[in-house]
Amino acid sequence: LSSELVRSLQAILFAAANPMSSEELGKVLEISVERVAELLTELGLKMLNDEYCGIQLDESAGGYRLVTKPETGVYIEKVTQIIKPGSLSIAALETLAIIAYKQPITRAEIEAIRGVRVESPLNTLIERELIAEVGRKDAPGRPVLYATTDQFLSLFGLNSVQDLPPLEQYQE
Amino acid sequence: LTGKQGWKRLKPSLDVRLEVYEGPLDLLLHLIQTQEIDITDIPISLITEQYLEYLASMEEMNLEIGGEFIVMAATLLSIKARMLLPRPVFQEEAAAIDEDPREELVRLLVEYSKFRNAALQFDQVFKARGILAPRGGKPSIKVIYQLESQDPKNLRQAFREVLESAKTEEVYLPVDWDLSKRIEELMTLIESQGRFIFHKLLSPDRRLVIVSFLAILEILRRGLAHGEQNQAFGPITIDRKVGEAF
Repeated sequence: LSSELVRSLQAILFAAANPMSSEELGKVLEISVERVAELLTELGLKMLNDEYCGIQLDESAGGYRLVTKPETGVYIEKVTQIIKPGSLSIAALETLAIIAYKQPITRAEIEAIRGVRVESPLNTLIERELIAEVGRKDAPGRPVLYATTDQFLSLFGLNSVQDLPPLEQYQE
Repeated sequence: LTGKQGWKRLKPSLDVRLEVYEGPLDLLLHLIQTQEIDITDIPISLITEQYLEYLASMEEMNLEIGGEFIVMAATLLSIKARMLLPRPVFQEEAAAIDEDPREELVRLLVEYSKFRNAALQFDQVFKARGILAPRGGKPSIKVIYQLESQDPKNLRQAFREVLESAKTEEVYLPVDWDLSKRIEELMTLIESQGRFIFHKLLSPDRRLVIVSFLAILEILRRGLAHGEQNQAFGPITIDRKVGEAF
Protein backbone atom coordinates (compact mmCIF):
# COMPACT_ATOMS: atom_id res chain seq x y z
CA LEU A 1 0.00 0.00 0.00
CA SER A 2 1.24 3.44 -0.92
CA SER A 3 0.36 5.12 2.39
CA GLU A 4 2.19 2.47 4.37
CA LEU A 5 5.32 2.85 2.24
CA VAL A 6 5.26 6.65 2.35
CA ARG A 7 4.90 6.49 6.12
CA SER A 8 7.84 4.07 6.38
CA LEU A 9 9.92 6.20 4.06
CA GLN A 10 9.37 9.22 6.29
CA ALA A 11 10.26 7.20 9.38
CA ILE A 12 13.47 5.91 7.80
CA LEU A 13 14.57 9.39 6.76
CA PHE A 14 13.76 10.69 10.24
CA ALA A 15 15.76 7.95 11.96
CA ALA A 16 18.74 8.09 9.60
CA ALA A 17 20.73 11.17 10.49
CA ASN A 18 22.57 11.25 7.15
CA PRO A 19 21.13 11.67 3.65
CA MET A 20 20.10 8.38 1.99
CA SER A 21 20.20 7.62 -1.72
CA SER A 22 17.19 6.15 -3.51
CA GLU A 23 19.18 2.92 -3.98
CA GLU A 24 19.69 2.60 -0.23
CA LEU A 25 16.03 3.38 0.42
CA GLY A 26 14.99 0.79 -2.17
CA LYS A 27 17.07 -1.87 -0.43
CA VAL A 28 15.60 -1.05 2.98
CA LEU A 29 12.00 -1.02 1.74
CA GLU A 30 12.61 -3.93 -0.66
CA ILE A 31 11.18 -2.06 -3.63
CA SER A 32 12.57 -0.78 -6.93
CA VAL A 33 14.41 2.52 -7.29
CA GLU A 34 11.64 3.73 -9.61
CA ARG A 35 9.04 3.04 -6.94
CA VAL A 36 11.19 4.87 -4.37
CA ALA A 37 11.29 7.90 -6.68
CA GLU A 38 7.47 7.90 -6.89
CA LEU A 39 7.09 7.58 -3.15
CA LEU A 40 9.64 10.33 -2.50
CA THR A 41 7.71 12.70 -4.75
CA GLU A 42 4.50 11.84 -2.90
CA LEU A 43 6.09 12.28 0.52
CA GLY A 44 7.77 15.52 -0.53
CA LEU A 45 4.52 17.06 -1.74
CA LYS A 46 2.55 15.86 1.30
CA MET A 47 4.97 17.48 3.71
CA LEU A 48 5.33 20.63 1.66
CA ASN A 49 1.58 21.14 1.41
CA ASP A 50 0.83 20.31 5.04
CA GLU A 51 0.70 23.67 6.77
CA TYR A 52 0.88 21.97 10.13
CA CYS A 53 4.14 20.27 9.21
CA GLY A 54 7.43 22.12 9.89
CA ILE A 55 9.62 19.65 8.06
CA GLN A 56 10.28 19.11 4.38
CA LEU A 57 12.12 16.70 2.11
CA ASP A 58 15.41 17.89 0.65
CA GLU A 59 17.46 16.32 -2.10
CA SER A 60 21.12 17.21 -2.05
CA ALA A 61 24.61 15.71 -1.86
CA GLY A 62 23.34 12.62 -3.68
CA GLY A 63 20.67 11.69 -1.18
CA TYR A 64 17.45 12.58 0.56
CA ARG A 65 17.00 13.96 4.07
CA LEU A 66 14.43 15.70 6.20
CA VAL A 67 15.10 19.36 6.97
CA THR A 68 13.24 22.16 8.69
CA LYS A 69 11.13 24.42 6.47
CA PRO A 70 12.85 27.73 5.66
CA GLU A 71 10.01 29.80 7.14
CA THR A 72 10.83 28.36 10.57
CA GLY A 73 14.46 29.55 10.25
CA VAL A 74 14.15 32.43 12.71
CA TYR A 75 13.54 29.95 15.51
CA ILE A 76 15.90 27.25 14.28
CA GLU A 77 18.88 29.58 14.40
CA LYS A 78 18.19 30.13 18.08
CA VAL A 79 18.42 26.45 18.95
CA THR A 80 21.12 25.06 16.67
CA GLN A 81 24.39 26.29 15.24
CA ILE A 82 23.67 26.86 11.57
CA ILE A 83 25.28 28.91 8.85
CA LYS A 84 22.98 31.85 8.27
CA PRO A 85 22.36 32.99 4.68
CA GLY A 86 24.26 36.21 4.14
CA SER A 87 26.66 35.48 6.97
CA LEU A 88 29.51 34.43 4.68
CA SER A 89 31.81 37.29 3.71
CA ILE A 90 32.62 38.12 0.09
CA ALA A 91 36.14 36.84 0.73
CA ALA A 92 34.78 33.51 2.01
CA LEU A 93 32.30 33.19 -0.88
CA GLU A 94 34.96 33.96 -3.50
CA THR A 95 37.33 31.45 -1.96
CA LEU A 96 34.53 28.88 -1.80
CA ALA A 97 33.64 29.47 -5.46
CA ILE A 98 37.26 29.00 -6.53
CA ILE A 99 37.54 25.76 -4.55
CA ALA A 100 34.17 24.50 -5.85
CA TYR A 101 35.24 24.90 -9.47
CA LYS A 102 38.94 24.08 -9.20
CA GLN A 103 39.07 21.37 -6.58
CA PRO A 104 41.28 19.90 -5.39
CA ILE A 105 43.30 23.08 -5.12
CA THR A 106 46.12 24.44 -2.96
CA ARG A 107 46.11 27.68 -1.02
CA ALA A 108 48.76 29.21 -3.29
CA GLU A 109 46.65 28.43 -6.37
CA ILE A 110 43.60 30.11 -4.81
CA GLU A 111 45.72 33.14 -3.90
CA ALA A 112 46.99 33.37 -7.48
CA ILE A 113 43.39 33.71 -8.69
CA ARG A 114 42.15 36.10 -6.01
CA GLY A 115 45.32 38.19 -5.90
CA VAL A 116 45.17 38.31 -2.11
CA ARG A 117 45.94 36.03 0.79
CA VAL A 118 43.18 33.58 1.66
CA GLU A 119 44.31 32.18 4.99
CA SER A 120 41.50 33.73 6.97
CA PRO A 121 38.60 32.86 4.61
CA LEU A 122 40.04 29.33 4.31
CA ASN A 123 39.91 28.92 8.07
CA THR A 124 36.32 30.20 8.18
CA LEU A 125 35.28 27.69 5.51
CA ILE A 126 37.03 24.81 7.28
CA GLU A 127 35.42 25.81 10.57
CA ARG A 128 31.99 25.84 8.93
CA GLU A 129 32.79 22.46 7.36
CA LEU A 130 32.15 23.74 3.84
CA ILE A 131 35.61 22.67 2.72
CA ALA A 132 38.11 20.12 3.99
CA GLU A 133 41.69 19.07 3.47
CA VAL A 134 41.70 16.13 1.07
CA GLY A 135 45.39 15.38 0.64
CA ARG A 136 48.61 16.87 -0.48
CA LYS A 137 49.74 17.92 -3.90
CA ASP A 138 52.67 16.09 -5.42
CA ALA A 139 54.67 19.29 -5.73
CA PRO A 140 57.55 20.97 -3.88
CA GLY A 141 56.58 21.46 -0.25
CA ARG A 142 53.70 18.98 -0.63
CA PRO A 143 51.04 21.70 -0.12
CA VAL A 144 47.62 20.80 1.31
CA LEU A 145 44.79 20.31 -1.18
CA TYR A 146 41.30 21.57 -0.40
CA ALA A 147 37.92 20.40 -1.70
CA THR A 148 34.27 21.08 -0.92
CA THR A 149 32.25 18.86 1.44
CA ASP A 150 28.75 17.34 1.43
CA GLN A 151 27.78 20.16 3.76
CA PHE A 152 28.62 22.55 0.92
CA LEU A 153 26.43 20.59 -1.52
CA SER A 154 23.54 20.57 0.97
CA LEU A 155 23.82 24.27 1.65
CA PHE A 156 23.50 25.11 -2.03
CA GLY A 157 21.11 22.29 -2.96
CA LEU A 158 23.49 20.44 -5.26
CA ASN A 159 23.75 16.70 -5.78
CA SER A 160 27.39 16.92 -6.85
CA VAL A 161 29.84 19.60 -7.95
CA GLN A 162 29.05 18.56 -11.53
CA ASP A 163 25.67 20.25 -11.01
CA LEU A 164 27.33 23.67 -10.71
CA PRO A 165 26.58 25.94 -13.67
CA PRO A 166 29.55 26.09 -16.08
CA LEU A 167 32.09 28.67 -14.96
CA GLU A 168 32.18 30.27 -18.42
CA GLN A 169 28.61 31.39 -17.78
CA TYR A 170 29.97 33.95 -15.33
CA GLN A 171 32.11 35.68 -17.91
CA GLU A 172 31.00 39.24 -18.48
CA LEU B 1 28.91 75.97 3.93
CA THR B 2 25.35 75.07 4.66
CA GLY B 3 23.65 71.75 4.61
CA LYS B 4 24.23 68.95 2.22
CA GLN B 5 25.17 71.15 -0.71
CA GLY B 6 28.13 72.61 1.08
CA TRP B 7 29.44 69.16 1.76
CA LYS B 8 29.01 68.19 -1.84
CA ARG B 9 31.31 70.93 -3.02
CA LEU B 10 34.02 69.65 -0.74
CA LYS B 11 34.11 66.32 -2.55
CA PRO B 12 37.05 65.74 -4.87
CA SER B 13 36.25 65.98 -8.56
CA LEU B 14 36.95 62.31 -9.23
CA ASP B 15 34.41 60.13 -7.51
CA VAL B 16 36.71 58.27 -5.19
CA ARG B 17 34.51 56.33 -2.88
CA LEU B 18 36.64 54.67 -0.31
CA GLU B 19 34.99 51.35 -0.51
CA VAL B 20 36.78 48.37 0.79
CA TYR B 21 38.00 46.18 -2.01
CA GLU B 22 38.78 42.52 -1.69
CA GLY B 23 42.13 43.09 -3.33
CA PRO B 24 43.85 44.86 -6.23
CA LEU B 25 41.97 42.78 -8.84
CA ASP B 26 38.65 43.73 -7.25
CA LEU B 27 39.62 47.40 -7.31
CA LEU B 28 40.77 47.23 -10.94
CA LEU B 29 37.56 45.49 -12.01
CA HIS B 30 35.58 48.19 -10.26
CA LEU B 31 37.48 50.93 -12.11
CA ILE B 32 37.02 49.13 -15.43
CA GLN B 33 33.34 48.37 -14.94
CA THR B 34 32.22 51.77 -13.69
CA GLN B 35 33.76 53.38 -16.77
CA GLU B 36 32.48 50.70 -19.15
CA ILE B 37 35.93 49.96 -20.47
CA ASP B 38 36.57 46.96 -22.70
CA ILE B 39 38.55 44.59 -20.50
CA THR B 40 40.68 43.41 -23.44
CA ASP B 41 41.68 46.96 -24.33
CA ILE B 42 42.40 48.69 -21.04
CA PRO B 43 43.65 52.30 -21.31
CA ILE B 44 46.56 51.51 -19.03
CA SER B 45 47.66 55.12 -18.36
CA LEU B 46 44.22 56.16 -17.22
CA ILE B 47 43.61 53.08 -15.09
CA THR B 48 47.08 53.28 -13.52
CA GLU B 49 46.46 56.92 -12.66
CA GLN B 50 43.09 56.16 -11.06
CA TYR B 51 44.51 53.16 -9.25
CA LEU B 52 47.32 55.22 -7.76
CA GLU B 53 44.87 57.97 -6.87
CA TYR B 54 42.84 55.46 -4.91
CA LEU B 55 45.92 54.27 -3.04
CA ALA B 56 46.84 57.89 -2.30
CA SER B 57 43.41 58.60 -0.85
CA MET B 58 43.67 55.48 1.26
CA GLU B 59 46.96 56.73 2.56
CA GLU B 60 45.47 60.16 3.22
CA MET B 61 42.84 58.56 5.40
CA ASN B 62 45.51 56.61 7.23
CA LEU B 63 44.16 53.32 5.98
CA GLU B 64 46.58 50.47 5.86
CA ILE B 65 47.44 49.51 2.30
CA GLY B 66 48.02 45.80 1.83
CA GLY B 67 51.25 44.71 0.18
CA GLU B 68 49.35 43.15 -2.73
CA PHE B 69 48.01 46.62 -3.65
CA ILE B 70 51.56 47.95 -3.88
CA VAL B 71 52.69 44.99 -5.98
CA MET B 72 49.84 45.66 -8.42
CA ALA B 73 50.79 49.35 -8.59
CA ALA B 74 54.29 48.29 -9.62
CA THR B 75 52.88 45.87 -12.19
CA LEU B 76 50.67 48.60 -13.70
CA LEU B 77 53.57 51.02 -13.92
CA SER B 78 55.78 48.42 -15.56
CA ILE B 79 53.07 47.62 -18.13
CA LYS B 80 52.66 51.30 -18.80
CA ALA B 81 56.41 51.69 -19.30
CA ARG B 82 56.57 48.70 -21.66
CA MET B 83 53.75 50.12 -23.74
CA LEU B 84 55.65 53.38 -24.14
CA LEU B 85 58.76 51.63 -25.41
CA PRO B 86 59.39 51.97 -29.12
CA ARG B 87 58.81 48.87 -31.19
CA PRO B 88 61.97 46.89 -31.84
CA VAL B 89 63.54 47.31 -35.26
CA PHE B 90 64.77 43.78 -35.85
CA GLN B 91 62.34 41.08 -36.80
CA GLU B 92 63.50 38.38 -34.36
CA GLU B 93 63.35 40.81 -31.44
CA ALA B 94 59.92 41.90 -32.52
CA ALA B 95 58.63 38.35 -32.39
CA ALA B 96 59.83 37.96 -28.82
CA ILE B 97 58.36 41.22 -27.54
CA ASP B 98 55.35 41.44 -29.77
CA GLU B 99 52.84 40.22 -27.22
CA ASP B 100 50.65 42.83 -25.58
CA PRO B 101 52.16 43.81 -22.19
CA ARG B 102 48.61 43.84 -20.80
CA GLU B 103 47.93 40.22 -21.74
CA GLU B 104 48.75 38.62 -18.40
CA LEU B 105 46.81 41.25 -16.44
CA VAL B 106 43.76 40.81 -18.67
CA ARG B 107 43.92 37.05 -18.19
CA LEU B 108 44.03 37.51 -14.39
CA LEU B 109 41.14 39.98 -14.40
CA VAL B 110 38.92 37.82 -16.61
CA GLU B 111 39.63 34.73 -14.50
CA TYR B 112 39.01 36.55 -11.23
CA SER B 113 35.80 38.20 -12.45
CA LYS B 114 34.26 34.79 -13.22
CA PHE B 115 34.77 33.62 -9.66
CA ARG B 116 33.59 36.92 -8.26
CA ASN B 117 30.33 36.57 -10.18
CA ALA B 118 30.02 32.92 -9.19
CA ALA B 119 30.47 33.94 -5.54
CA LEU B 120 27.62 36.45 -5.87
CA GLN B 121 25.39 33.73 -7.23
CA PHE B 122 26.38 31.36 -4.43
CA ASP B 123 25.23 34.03 -2.04
CA GLN B 124 21.91 34.46 -3.86
CA VAL B 125 21.23 30.73 -4.05
CA PHE B 126 21.98 30.33 -0.36
CA LYS B 127 19.66 33.23 0.51
CA ALA B 128 16.91 31.83 -1.71
CA ARG B 129 17.14 28.42 -0.06
CA GLY B 130 17.14 29.84 3.43
CA ILE B 131 17.77 27.91 6.58
CA LEU B 132 17.25 24.18 6.04
CA ALA B 133 18.41 22.47 9.19
CA PRO B 134 18.85 18.70 9.24
CA ARG B 135 18.49 16.65 12.39
CA GLY B 136 21.25 16.43 14.94
CA GLY B 137 22.61 19.97 14.71
CA LYS B 138 24.89 21.27 17.42
CA PRO B 139 22.92 23.17 20.04
CA SER B 140 23.32 26.91 19.84
CA ILE B 141 25.48 28.51 22.51
CA LYS B 142 23.04 31.41 22.62
CA VAL B 143 20.31 29.16 23.98
CA ILE B 144 22.41 27.74 26.76
CA TYR B 145 23.04 31.21 28.09
CA GLN B 146 19.70 32.75 27.29
CA LEU B 147 19.11 34.35 30.64
CA GLU B 148 15.43 35.25 30.52
CA SER B 149 14.29 31.71 29.83
CA GLN B 150 16.32 30.08 32.61
CA ASP B 151 15.08 29.30 36.08
CA PRO B 152 17.24 30.49 39.00
CA LYS B 153 18.62 27.01 39.67
CA ASN B 154 20.04 26.71 36.15
CA LEU B 155 21.40 30.23 36.34
CA ARG B 156 23.21 29.50 39.58
CA GLN B 157 24.66 26.34 38.08
CA ALA B 158 25.83 28.18 34.95
CA PHE B 159 27.36 30.94 37.04
CA ARG B 160 29.16 28.40 39.19
CA GLU B 161 30.57 26.73 36.09
CA VAL B 162 31.85 30.01 34.72
CA LEU B 163 33.48 30.83 38.05
CA GLU B 164 35.03 27.39 38.22
CA SER B 165 36.52 27.64 34.74
CA ALA B 166 37.83 31.14 35.37
CA LYS B 167 39.41 30.22 38.68
CA THR B 168 43.04 31.19 38.96
CA GLU B 169 45.38 30.93 41.82
CA GLU B 170 46.67 34.28 42.88
CA VAL B 171 50.33 34.43 43.66
CA TYR B 172 51.81 37.27 45.61
CA LEU B 173 55.44 37.88 45.06
CA PRO B 174 57.35 40.31 47.23
CA VAL B 175 59.34 42.76 45.16
CA ASP B 176 62.75 41.42 44.25
CA TRP B 177 61.98 38.15 46.01
CA ASP B 178 65.36 36.52 46.12
CA LEU B 179 65.83 37.11 42.40
CA SER B 180 69.54 37.82 42.66
CA LYS B 181 69.97 34.81 44.88
CA ARG B 182 68.18 32.59 42.34
CA ILE B 183 70.36 33.96 39.54
CA GLU B 184 73.44 33.00 41.53
CA GLU B 185 72.05 29.52 42.17
CA LEU B 186 71.26 28.99 38.53
CA MET B 187 74.66 30.28 37.41
CA THR B 188 76.34 27.79 39.76
CA LEU B 189 74.19 25.07 38.22
CA ILE B 190 75.18 26.11 34.72
CA GLU B 191 78.83 26.24 35.77
CA SER B 192 78.80 22.78 37.29
CA GLN B 193 76.59 20.99 34.75
CA GLY B 194 77.37 22.92 31.58
CA ARG B 195 73.73 22.84 30.58
CA PHE B 196 70.26 22.09 31.89
CA ILE B 197 66.74 21.81 30.63
CA PHE B 198 64.62 24.69 31.87
CA HIS B 199 61.44 22.78 32.73
CA LYS B 200 63.40 20.41 34.99
CA LEU B 201 63.67 23.39 37.34
CA LEU B 202 59.95 23.80 37.65
CA SER B 203 58.45 22.82 40.96
CA PRO B 204 54.92 22.86 42.36
CA ASP B 205 55.76 26.07 44.19
CA ARG B 206 54.52 28.71 41.78
CA ARG B 207 56.54 31.45 43.37
CA LEU B 208 59.72 29.49 42.78
CA VAL B 209 58.68 28.89 39.14
CA ILE B 210 58.14 32.61 38.61
CA VAL B 211 61.42 33.57 40.22
CA SER B 212 63.29 30.89 38.25
CA PHE B 213 61.76 32.13 35.03
CA LEU B 214 62.62 35.75 35.81
CA ALA B 215 66.14 34.68 36.76
CA ILE B 216 66.56 32.84 33.44
CA LEU B 217 65.31 35.87 31.52
CA GLU B 218 67.76 38.06 33.37
CA ILE B 219 70.65 35.63 32.77
CA LEU B 220 69.87 35.53 29.06
CA ARG B 221 69.46 39.29 28.90
CA ARG B 222 72.85 39.86 30.48
CA GLY B 223 74.32 37.31 28.10
CA LEU B 224 75.62 35.11 30.92
CA ALA B 225 74.36 31.95 29.27
CA HIS B 226 72.88 30.76 26.03
CA GLY B 227 69.26 29.65 25.74
CA GLU B 228 67.81 27.59 22.95
CA GLN B 229 64.34 26.36 22.07
CA ASN B 230 64.04 24.47 18.81
CA GLN B 231 60.28 24.36 18.51
CA ALA B 232 57.24 26.08 19.97
CA PHE B 233 56.51 24.70 23.46
CA GLY B 234 59.59 22.48 23.14
CA PRO B 235 62.19 22.13 25.88
CA ILE B 236 64.35 25.16 26.55
CA THR B 237 68.00 24.30 26.92
CA ILE B 238 70.24 26.62 28.89
CA ASP B 239 73.91 26.31 27.94
CA ARG B 240 77.11 27.71 29.30
CA LYS B 241 78.48 30.21 26.82
CA VAL B 242 81.34 28.62 24.98
CA GLY B 243 84.69 30.34 24.93
CA GLU B 244 83.61 33.22 27.10
CA ALA B 245 84.70 33.95 30.59
CA PHE B 246 82.53 35.80 33.02
